[in-house]
Amino acid sequence: MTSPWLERIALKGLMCLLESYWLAALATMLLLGSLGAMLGLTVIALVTAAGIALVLREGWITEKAAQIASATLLLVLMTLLIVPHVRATETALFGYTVGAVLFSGLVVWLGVGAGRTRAAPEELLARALRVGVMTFLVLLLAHQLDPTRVSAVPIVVATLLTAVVMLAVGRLVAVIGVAERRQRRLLSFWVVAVAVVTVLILIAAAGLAGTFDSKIITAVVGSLGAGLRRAWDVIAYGLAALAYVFTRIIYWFAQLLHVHPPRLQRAPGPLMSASPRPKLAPNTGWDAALYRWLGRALVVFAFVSAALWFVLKIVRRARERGDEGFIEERDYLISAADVARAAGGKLRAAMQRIARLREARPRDPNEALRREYRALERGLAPLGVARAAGTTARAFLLAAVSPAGRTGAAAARQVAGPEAAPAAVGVGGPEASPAAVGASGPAGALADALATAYERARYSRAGVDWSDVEAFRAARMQLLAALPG
Amino acid sequence: MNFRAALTVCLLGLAAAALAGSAALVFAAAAAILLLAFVRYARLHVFDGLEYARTLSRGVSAWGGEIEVTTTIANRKWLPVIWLRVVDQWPASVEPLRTVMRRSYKATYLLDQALTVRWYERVRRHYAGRCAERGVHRFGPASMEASDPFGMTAVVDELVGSAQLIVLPKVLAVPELELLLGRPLVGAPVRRSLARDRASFIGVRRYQSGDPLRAVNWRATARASTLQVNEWEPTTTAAVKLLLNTRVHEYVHEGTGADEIELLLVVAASLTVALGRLGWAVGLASNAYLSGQWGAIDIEPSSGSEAEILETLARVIALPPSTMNEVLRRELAADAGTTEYLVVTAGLHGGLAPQLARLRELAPTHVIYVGAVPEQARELIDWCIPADFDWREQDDLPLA
Repeated sequence: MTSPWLERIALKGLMCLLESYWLAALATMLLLGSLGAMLGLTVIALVTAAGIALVLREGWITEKAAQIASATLLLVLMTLLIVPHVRATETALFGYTVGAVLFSGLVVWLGVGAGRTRAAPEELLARALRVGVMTFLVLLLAHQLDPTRVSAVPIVVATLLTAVVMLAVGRLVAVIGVAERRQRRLLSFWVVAVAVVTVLILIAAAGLAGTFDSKIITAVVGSLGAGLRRAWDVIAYGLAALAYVFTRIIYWFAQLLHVHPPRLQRAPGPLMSASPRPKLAPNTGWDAALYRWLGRALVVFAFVSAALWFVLKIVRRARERGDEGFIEERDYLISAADVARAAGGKLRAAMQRIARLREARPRDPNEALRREYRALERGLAPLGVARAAGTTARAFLLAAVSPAGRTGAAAARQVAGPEAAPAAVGVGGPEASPAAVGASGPAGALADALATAYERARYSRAGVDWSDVEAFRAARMQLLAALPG
Repeated sequence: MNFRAALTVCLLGLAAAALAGSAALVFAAAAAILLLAFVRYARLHVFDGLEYARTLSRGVSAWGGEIEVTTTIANRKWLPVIWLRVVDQWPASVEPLRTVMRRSYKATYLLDQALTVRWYERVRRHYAGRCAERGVHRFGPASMEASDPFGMTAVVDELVGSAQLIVLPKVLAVPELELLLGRPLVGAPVRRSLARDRASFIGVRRYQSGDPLRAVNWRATARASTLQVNEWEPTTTAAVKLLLNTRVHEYVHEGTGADEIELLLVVAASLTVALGRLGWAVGLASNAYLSGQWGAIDIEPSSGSEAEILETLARVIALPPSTMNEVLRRELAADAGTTEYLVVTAGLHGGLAPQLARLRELAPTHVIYVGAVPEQARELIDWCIPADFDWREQDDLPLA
């Protein structure tokens, strides 16, 4: 292994940190301490136990010395857990003492295990999975016993982040340890990729969790809106500052050229004062805690990533002073122009698709009704009737449903042959009525109602609404079903 | 990692969290499921559009020559390969220059590359190596190992292709070649016919004292500003055939004699080149085994056959072959014509001496012996090369 310090210190530390979260939650639940204190105590105990195992593995101390050190650590941990409790309650509960002893033993055992474990990626993954399951079970138990006792959100976020970082560092050490020592160019991109993917996954998970709780959607939208507003404020202030500087420069040039631009007048009135910002009630639910902890964790993660990146860069530079031993060339198989062209093509196609959809689904009910009418005309065409030029819609519909009109059309089609176009029908003028064209019965009434609705959509200023469109569609279907053939 | 089991656990966790009404645990389960889904997707598609190629600057190299090995990795998709390890087999007989490689259990070097390849990116790396051993060497096969950014599980893809490099034997100068052939100095030009075949134009060269004036190429002279003469193939060419015996020991259990075989090949290669430079048509017959080829080595003497002979010598594998008797029998049966023989051997066992004596009677034959000459066969040996001759460090072939 070419990076023993990274393996032994960073990975062992991450292992201990990962174990400490669920152990601290367990201690908080069983031993009734505060989460922060328990976490600190657990981390120190785990790291100490792992250090004992590590120095034993290196052969710096004997096995007996390691056993004595472990036993001492166990005693110290038990004392630290039991004595303050006895002082506070002035009673030594049997159950509490047993819990403290078991917890101390568990901490020392897991710490020694972390120190002994070989930091291979497969073993790290197994550890992460086990810790994940244990964390989940402990938090579930805590939620069932007393939901207010242990705050689950920070533990979940911290466990996820620590596990991800530990796995990534473990794989990194494994890859670099066997590859050429100087091949460390992947580090920066790797750190960035891990950070980006983790953040995206956490945000998506928060969004998914929000679907189980309606309150969280409001919280998400509100927090996003607040964030966007803050961001826009910053951008706007920045732009305003730049604009001010730019304006001053222009003024200065103008004065040099003896040009006196008109002075800008301050706008009077309400523009001078901003409208009061609405006061929102603070969100105190679990979702607020989630986002608060998520935000803190992301900030910490960003800092840790940046620190890791800088440290690794320094290490890399120190080790890359010599020649790399090979010449590397990198180029892209597609140019930025190709990407822009492809993106432009996709955007164009999407816009066209949207335009087609908009074309297919009119937003205006009058337009929708006129389309329904055109569909009616198309439906009548197979029956051999078509609207003649100069014929009103009313006259056409009434003629189409009257037996005389259809018979004439059929006769005309018979003379012209089966391939002929539908015969144009239409009698009378705008004043045509069912009685005038001989259309009676339900079909005539339907045709009359359809024609009325169409005329309203076509000529009336009031127009129609969506319920009229629905009624027209239903009447059209009835009419087509009622007509023979 | 068993994704199905992990996913089942996560789904159970999600159900338990939903039943318990803990949105924080739902968040935890959802994050775990998304993480698994991402890892699964990356694992399934990480090798899509990922190409690896290895090219050598040349397929045939001289002994001690440098070659450049270029590895090309191209990622023809949008999903970047956050970490990729390519382990390529690099032959041990090609010493890597300016870079450190570890050895594999197969006694080869391992060209271990760890890198990231972004979307639609191509990475080329140029490595240098020095050809330190004669033979046919293979680069590859390679294996690629990649995974998700977190490195949870690795996927390995074995690439079966390999590239071949032929390293020719070391060629030493043979200062005493004229003496070896028994026709020092003035005799050498006689080996080639003075008559030239005007239909077989070779090229132009600088004028040398004694060249006929009618051979001057005036156009080439005008271009080069120095006298240039045409050169044609001679109508007849003197021919010599090398008979190479790579059976070093009489019995197989005595060893392969790999070092002696290498020295024999160096001697044969040096003689081939030296004779070829003098204009001889050179041929080769041997009892050696060739890599990837089965059958007797028999290259008839011809002009310009040196490259073929050198490549054949490069392919010889250091295994004890059958005796030289069959090769000599074939040559004795053939009509040698004007061909002379040059026998290179490190032993005369297995009835080789009487056959050599017969060959001497039929055609001009010279025997070069590598190692200590046995007393009983001293009259057959013309020249001797010590067995401990360090050909790797020397530039001239000593003929004693």
